[in-house]
Amino acid sequence: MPKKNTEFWAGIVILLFSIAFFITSFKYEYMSDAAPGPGFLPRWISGFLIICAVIYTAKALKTPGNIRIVDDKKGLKKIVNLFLALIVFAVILTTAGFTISCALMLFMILRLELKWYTSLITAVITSVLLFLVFYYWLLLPFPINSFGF
Amino acid sequence: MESLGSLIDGFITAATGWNLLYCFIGITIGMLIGIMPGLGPTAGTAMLIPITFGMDPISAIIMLSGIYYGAMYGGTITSVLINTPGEAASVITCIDGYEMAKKGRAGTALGVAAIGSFVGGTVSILALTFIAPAVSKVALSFGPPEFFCLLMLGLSMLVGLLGKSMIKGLIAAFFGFLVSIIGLDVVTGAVRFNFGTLHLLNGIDLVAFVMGLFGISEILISLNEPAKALSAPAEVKKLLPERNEWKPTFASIGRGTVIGFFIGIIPGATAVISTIASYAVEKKLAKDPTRFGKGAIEGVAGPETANNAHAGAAVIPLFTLGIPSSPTIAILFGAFMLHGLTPGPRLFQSNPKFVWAIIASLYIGNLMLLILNLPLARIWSRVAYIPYKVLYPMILVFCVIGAYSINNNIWDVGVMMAFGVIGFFMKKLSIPMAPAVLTYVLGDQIERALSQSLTMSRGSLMIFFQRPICIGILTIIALIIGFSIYSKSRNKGLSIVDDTEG
Repeated sequence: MPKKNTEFWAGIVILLFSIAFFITSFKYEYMSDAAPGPGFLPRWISGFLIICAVIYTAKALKTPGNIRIVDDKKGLKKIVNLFLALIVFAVILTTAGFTISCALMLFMILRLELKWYTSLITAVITSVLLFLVFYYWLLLPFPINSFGF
Repeated sequence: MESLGSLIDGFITAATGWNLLYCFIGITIGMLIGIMPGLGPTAGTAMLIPITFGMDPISAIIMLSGIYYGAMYGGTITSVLINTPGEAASVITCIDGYEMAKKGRAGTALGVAAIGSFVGGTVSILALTFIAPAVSKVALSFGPPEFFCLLMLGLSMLVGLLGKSMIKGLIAAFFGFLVSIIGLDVVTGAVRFNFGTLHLLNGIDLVAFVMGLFGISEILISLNEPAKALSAPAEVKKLLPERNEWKPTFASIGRGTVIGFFIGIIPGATAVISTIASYAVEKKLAKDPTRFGKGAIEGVAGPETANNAHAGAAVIPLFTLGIPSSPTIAILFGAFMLHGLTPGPRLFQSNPKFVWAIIASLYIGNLMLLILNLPLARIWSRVAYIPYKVLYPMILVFCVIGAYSINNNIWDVGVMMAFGVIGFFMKKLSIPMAPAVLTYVLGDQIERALSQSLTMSRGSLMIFFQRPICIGILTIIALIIGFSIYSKSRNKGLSIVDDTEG
């Protein structure tokens, strides 16, 4: 197996994705009366995608294309941190309310870029402003905590 | 004359205080999006859709359209001043625009671009005013088979002309189609591919899908690449060309208008194609082509005009046929649907007040952009200097708010992030995203048109080969695909157009 052939592995993932859709499409009726049923188009589209994925994978095997996915290790750290911040935001949102969750998420992301106190001030001011604009002016029903923010 | 009367009514609606304000907000945000790296017009427009839920449909679409053509202007400023295109259609402007700036003529480059953009945009909107009602009347006679073939034409244009590899374009198109299939079947009402979760009952939301693919993926790509230093912005002084330059400039503007307009009305052809075509024509017609790449004023005037003429013309297939020609127009299409309006030939009959108000707002917005651009170009360029390390957390927060407010549910934020990761890999692998968005948006329509056609023919595909209009459209599709395969096999494909939003 060509371990360093990124395009080959991408082709395999696309192939598995399309096969999953193709198999699942058999659960739905193919034709109802004279008209196509709910399974008609999914079967054809996933079938076409399987063909494309096979061609793509075969091409990658013929002319291996190793594309660097991670260009910068510092960048990778920031990406992981960004996802962690989002998970924290999602977990505490309903109990801590929008302002605190947003401030914490922003602080977690900004602390890798700015000094901690600058990050904290920026995160808090931005979150409060966003809350005022979106909650009070645009009337978006953000979750709030028992203190009302 | 009928159009003129309707347009006057449209101006009365569009020129109300609130609609003018929303138009101004839209183009200002569009300008910012065009200038700032990391957020293209597609994600920017999608991000603001949830905010418009409570708004009147006319005001909502006026604002969202403002973002679309505002971004076309914004991208020019950074292309000229710091050699960094804010959006794909402005890449060509960098070639001669930045060279002009280096010679101390940044103001002239921006001035010519603004005048050209205004002329191109206004002429194409004028054409929209008079052509669209006639085309929509013809399109009203189309049945489901003709409509299905038209949708296929739009998609074949995009897959055939975009990207270095046709197979990658097809993968993107089929992927977008499969995503659109998730949830309730529009024809039979059956629930498909929801994998047992109620969240997927209504499918994947457009806003989360697009913001993930275009907005989040861009953040991930930028974080993954070492930061690039930006050059200092050029001085903006004299805005107008020299006396001897007016004639060639206006000739370029005229040609750019025609090229941008005609390419713009073709479903599936994006603004990048118009700008490249215009640049190629200008260079070909120039007495001394060696000036190009060294600061030729025609190299800025032509493509910039074509870009904005294209933006106006691209609305024609949306209004008359209900076919979005680019991802950003596809988002506008989605916004129409969310506000209970179906773009297409019936729109002129069923919602004339709405259509004409939007068309009138395009005139107003174009004028506002000219006023905002000429004297304030240097101030706008400062926006590009906001450090990306501060900008991306803010873009992320806006994306999160946008996704959350779709259904007031964190699920959509998760969906957006998932598509962000998918978009990241698509960009890394050079799989174009535009076909995925178009098939996603058009998926329901394609399925409905196909189902109705096959019901008419009792399941026979021959219906598409028995109707003259269908045969004509299918022939064009075959020619496009044939041309695409031929040109790519000879490495003559439009490989410069990797992926685009406009």
